[in-house]
Amino acid sequence: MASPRLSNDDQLELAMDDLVRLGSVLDEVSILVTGPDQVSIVTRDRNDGFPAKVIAYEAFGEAQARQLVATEARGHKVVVANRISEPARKYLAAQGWIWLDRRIGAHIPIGRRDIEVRYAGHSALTGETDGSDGSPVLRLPRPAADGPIRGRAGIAYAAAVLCSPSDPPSFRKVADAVNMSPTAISNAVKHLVAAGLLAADNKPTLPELFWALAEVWNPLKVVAIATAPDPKHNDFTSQVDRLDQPGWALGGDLAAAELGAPVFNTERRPWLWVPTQVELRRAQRTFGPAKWSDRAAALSAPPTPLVCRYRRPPTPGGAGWPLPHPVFAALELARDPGRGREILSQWTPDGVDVVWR
Amino acid sequence: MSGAKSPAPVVVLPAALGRLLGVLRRLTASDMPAIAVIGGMAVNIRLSTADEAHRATLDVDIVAGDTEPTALEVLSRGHHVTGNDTVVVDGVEVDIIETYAVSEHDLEGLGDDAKLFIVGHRWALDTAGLVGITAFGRGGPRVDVRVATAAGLVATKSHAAGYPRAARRANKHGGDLYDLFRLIEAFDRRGELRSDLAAAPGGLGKLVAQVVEAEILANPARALRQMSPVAATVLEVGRIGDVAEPFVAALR
Repeated sequence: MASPRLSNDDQLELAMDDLVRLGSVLDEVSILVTGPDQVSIVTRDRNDGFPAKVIAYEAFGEAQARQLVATEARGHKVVVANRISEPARKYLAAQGWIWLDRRIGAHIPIGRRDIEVRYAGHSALTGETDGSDGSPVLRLPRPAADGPIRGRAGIAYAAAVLCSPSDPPSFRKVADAVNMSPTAISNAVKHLVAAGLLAADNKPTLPELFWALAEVWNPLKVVAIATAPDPKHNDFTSQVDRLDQPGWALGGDLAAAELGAPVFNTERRPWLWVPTQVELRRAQRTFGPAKWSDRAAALSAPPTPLVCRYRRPPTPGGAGWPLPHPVFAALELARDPGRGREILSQWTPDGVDVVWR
Repeated sequence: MSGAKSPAPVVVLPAALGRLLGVLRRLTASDMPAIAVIGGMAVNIRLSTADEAHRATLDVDIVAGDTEPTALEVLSRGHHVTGNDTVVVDGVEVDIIETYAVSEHDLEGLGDDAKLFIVGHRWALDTAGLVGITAFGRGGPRVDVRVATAAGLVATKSHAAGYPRAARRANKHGGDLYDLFRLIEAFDRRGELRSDLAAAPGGLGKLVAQVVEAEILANPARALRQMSPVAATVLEVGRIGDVAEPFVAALR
């Protein structure tokens, strides 16, 4: 839950993060950040997004809802708050607005029907069984509580500093790389320093920062596709020959093996990191959706765009895709408390600081 | 045996694992006694022929026959020995478990732990089947290596899951259980594993069933909790029970 002591900017930043995270677990829509206070709601069926202004509050009641609806300009709106009263939720829904209540869930009208999300354990609070228009309700686990690395900015800076632990990057450099403001990065860094994960000079506390980041290291979206993409496919920003630009990168055990990790897996179908959810949707359309068991490849939007920025050349004789920085391969392994962590305990990649032990 | 009846499968490794072919070639050289690959690598190889395979570590676990010179003696010539039963070949650790032919008489007086270990590992060696291993985009001949069958792996994994030392229970128990569960799920759909294990010597089927019953079937929710962090797919209590119940019932 967002802290009540957060500034308005922090509230807005967290609201954007919560919306992106919500979109990442929904099949029907993706939610993309398109401006400082704007997201785009992209539906799977039509694959065209509509913009929506994000308005963040600590708590939100019916009077505020009525005033906001009366005074805000036309266009789609999203209200995000720790608590939205039931009358306010109903009023916003009736006006066609999107809401996200961190205690309860979310309401997302997408044309002919509404998406109703309810977090596990909320039903005693609301007594609801169906969406306001009778739509089925999606039950999802409640997002993880606050940790020192929570939002996109915290993940981005933690990842950046783990890739360069002896020479931490500037806030501006990281902000530019992930298309955020330096202020957002700076605010996230304050939380990392307060948690003891970064020193005052922004050098990381190791391996604690790595394992704290591993706790929240989840792809934003994963899809299975029916045809394996060619690294030289020109319709996408695979950028195999332009490693200075963001582009596709190999992930999963194939990447770990090509980077020299002592992992064994006969699975040869690639897992590919794709820079944006928009491109991921487009690629899924081009290469065709597939059942997971029948996939030719898996495409995924990474937890931070840096995965698709800090790339290494493809291995000669390998899968043909650029490789991620070894820290990103290590973060994937760290999510597996069995074999993954055993592999990490034995892995010392060439030319890279081992930040996980 | 379910594995031995079928033609030898061919498994193509990702190019990045091509160096493993040299290790397997050494393990199958003519100066070596009979060996079979077991452990996580063998589980991955067998699963890849039938279903989705999951990650293993790059070390090679083998069971070996007891002819002389032993596998350890052969491999220690020219390779670095790092432990009582471990040799490093081309940078890859090879852990060797020597096995011995045993009679019912030899097993008298032993506990279930020792019986399962001795009989299970020997049976895994005796029943192993050839698998052709090659690497994508690599020239050179494929390596034909004996890999324990799914039933043999269930026997060896049952010992690991049922009688782990404290350190293994702390660090590897979830992975061992998941290997065991996935093997049964993928290869016992028509009762093939049950049939093979029921016919195995030394009461092996019953020993395996005791482990699966105690570690999985007795409390599927606990097994779910232990396996979920290492599982490659979403597990459910119902799925776990559906797989384990008929397997245990047939071998009890």
